Amino acid sequence: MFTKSSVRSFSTSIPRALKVSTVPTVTSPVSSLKVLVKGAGSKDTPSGLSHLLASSAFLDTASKSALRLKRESELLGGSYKASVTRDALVLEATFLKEDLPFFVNAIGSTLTETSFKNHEFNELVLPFATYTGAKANSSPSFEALEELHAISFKRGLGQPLYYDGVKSYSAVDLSLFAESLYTSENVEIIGSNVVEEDLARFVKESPLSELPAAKNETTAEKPKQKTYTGVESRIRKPGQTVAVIGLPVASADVPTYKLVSAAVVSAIPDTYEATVKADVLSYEQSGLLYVSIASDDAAEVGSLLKKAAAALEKASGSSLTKYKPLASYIAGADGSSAKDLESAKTSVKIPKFNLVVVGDVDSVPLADEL
Amino acid sequence: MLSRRFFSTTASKLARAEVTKLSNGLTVISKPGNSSLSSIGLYLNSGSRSENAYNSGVSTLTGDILKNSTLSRKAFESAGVKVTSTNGKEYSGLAVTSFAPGNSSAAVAAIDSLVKETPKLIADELTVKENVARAVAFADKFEETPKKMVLEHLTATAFQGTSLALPSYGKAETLETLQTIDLQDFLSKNLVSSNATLISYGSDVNHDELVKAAAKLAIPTGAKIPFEAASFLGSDVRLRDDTMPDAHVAIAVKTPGAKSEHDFLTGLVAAHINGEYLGRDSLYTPFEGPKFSQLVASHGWSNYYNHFQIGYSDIGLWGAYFNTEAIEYVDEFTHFLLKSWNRFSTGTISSAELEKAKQELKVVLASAKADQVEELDSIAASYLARGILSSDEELIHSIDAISHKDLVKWAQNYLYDQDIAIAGNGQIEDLFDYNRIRNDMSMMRW
Repeated sequence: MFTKSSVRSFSTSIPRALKVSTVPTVTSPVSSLKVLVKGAGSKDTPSGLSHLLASSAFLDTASKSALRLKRESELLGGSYKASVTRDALVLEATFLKEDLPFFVNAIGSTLTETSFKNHEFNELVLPFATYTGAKANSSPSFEALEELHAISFKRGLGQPLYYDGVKSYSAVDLSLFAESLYTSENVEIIGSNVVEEDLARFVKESPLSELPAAKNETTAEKPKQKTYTGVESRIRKPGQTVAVIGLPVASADVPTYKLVSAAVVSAIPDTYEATVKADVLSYEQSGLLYVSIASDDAAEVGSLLKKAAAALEKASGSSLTKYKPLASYIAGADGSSAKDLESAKTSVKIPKFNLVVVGDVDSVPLADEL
Repeated sequence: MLSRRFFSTTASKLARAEVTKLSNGLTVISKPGNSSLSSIGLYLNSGSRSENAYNSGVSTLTGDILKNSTLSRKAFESAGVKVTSTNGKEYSGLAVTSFAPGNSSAAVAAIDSLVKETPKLIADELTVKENVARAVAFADKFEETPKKMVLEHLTATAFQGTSLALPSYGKAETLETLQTIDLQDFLSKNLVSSNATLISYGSDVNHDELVKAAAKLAIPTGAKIPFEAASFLGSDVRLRDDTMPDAHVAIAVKTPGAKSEHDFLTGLVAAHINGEYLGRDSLYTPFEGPKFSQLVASHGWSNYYNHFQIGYSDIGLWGAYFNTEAIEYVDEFTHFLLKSWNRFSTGTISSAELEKAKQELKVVLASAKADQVEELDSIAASYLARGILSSDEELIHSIDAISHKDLVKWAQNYLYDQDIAIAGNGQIEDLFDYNRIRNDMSMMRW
């Protein structure tokens, strides 16, 4: 996403891999910071743990209580939040330009000196993570996409994004994991609408400079993500019906499959009732093509699903160059750069896909009937 | 620590929107931005407020016809230009395009050909019929979204009897009667150059080229028809529905419109004193500063509330919306909400509360909206209501100038002991009658 940014690494007293970069933007009085903790996403930790870690961010630290942090940032007009992706834990803050040092410090404190108190874990972290997880899963579209990850990857990327209550953890577990994950090698700081030298200086003066280096220096190769195709999963559930066709693809093929997703979108006519979405999710070790069809009318989902499957079959092996403009729109809509599309191949042989249906599964055809 | 300035912020000039008015009256606005999709849209300074009781929904329907046309579909499939349409009380985005940066010429071409084809599109009875069915479905669905619906009905009851009360997206009864002739009549009055604005947002749109393209648009010259005057009436509208799991309520007073810059901004600051409350959707709810949110959080009265200052060109609404599953506490919530508003008039708001509101407002106003179409809508609404566009610097300067005294004066003028409009939906058995709530707008002691 931020490929064009000027990346700069600097060293304080000891050699560090802490990455600081800024995104070129139109100047505005509002700045934002985004800090990625790689290796702390939901694919890397025991299931649900990274969501709990994100739900512990900006709480009590050794130097400041959660209450004080909240009240001080309110006075500055700024806000902060923590979220989790499959690849990383994300800490974000938005604030007026002159308040940069305050928020660099706030993020730094969260990463270096969060207290992980027992009462906070029981009264805030656990209920909040359970609630957000349950709320997200109550949407059939989200549930279908989660199931697609589960059947396409099983382990790693196949783990649930949010905490689901299946495993139980304690505040001590969180603190131990934070210690091992919040290392200078894993942390990447991206400033938007900030002066890069200022950011680098404030980072150096903040607790971020005290991030420890990873314990085991031998950078062990991560296990390769295994993928599965030709799998089908159907979940009966009242409410809206959602069908998702999906296909795990190699990272190098992501641009090519963006063109495929554009081909599918252009083959499905506009309808008022159904929501159709096609895109390629891009992760560190793999990509995932998906075509999602949601509607209150299960029969309509069935007929659109047939059209989508036919479009995939037609796109397989045929020339995809004419879908470039539409693919660049799709890339822009999901926040990635259209430039990546330049490396797309002109055609690709599409293997057997995975299928997830959530809702009225009786009215939607089986994968081998498509 | 908080007040010290560590470095200069004035080094680079802040980006501001460029505005050009053509000789035929058409306005062109371009605002630079960072979003991953750019956007160009043709807006009219006439939304549902330019309609009447017999053609309500006609502005939405016109946009729908353009959006759903084969031209738009072709632009999407072959050029990657997505065409949508939007509608408000005082503006309608007739053709709003989104596209990947670098594709602006295709977007301009799409708008150009849509404008050219408009007479043909609306002349086709079948097209009109198809789109009426979609517009009816949309209007019905809108009524099922409680938050939007309650705010819509709040406006409808507050300004009842005037065209500002007409629903933004029309309603089934009138939409179903609309025919080609209604559309032609509406467009002949409103699709005229002095009523049209071409707005762009994004990193790649060149203002001079956009001006050139705007001059070529096939829009007839003509004068804008002014809006019918709106008047406020203290009143309530209730749709009790015990099958819903919660209650949705909005309460508001009349304020000056967005043209009265100082009052409008003071109203916005006042709206940020209690601000937005996210309840269990935020991890940090228990730590929030506003006195009212502490009260709500400790008693579990509500899941969500938000304060708003809506500004039309000549009139506005200031108030709050809330929803709660604790339906037995709607009366307590309403009472203490209005009591917290009393504090504005008595001047017992602390300087920290005011400062928080001002800083928060600066960030909100200077931040880009969530997506490019929303950004265009916000530029259109703000420019069309006020006739000018402030830069971020000017806005921050004006907000800084608002003092505690200004806030108190504003509250005493527009809030204290004023008539209110109330809208409720869901399980609202504990939403008291009008007079009982109205009485809370003043107090027995000062």
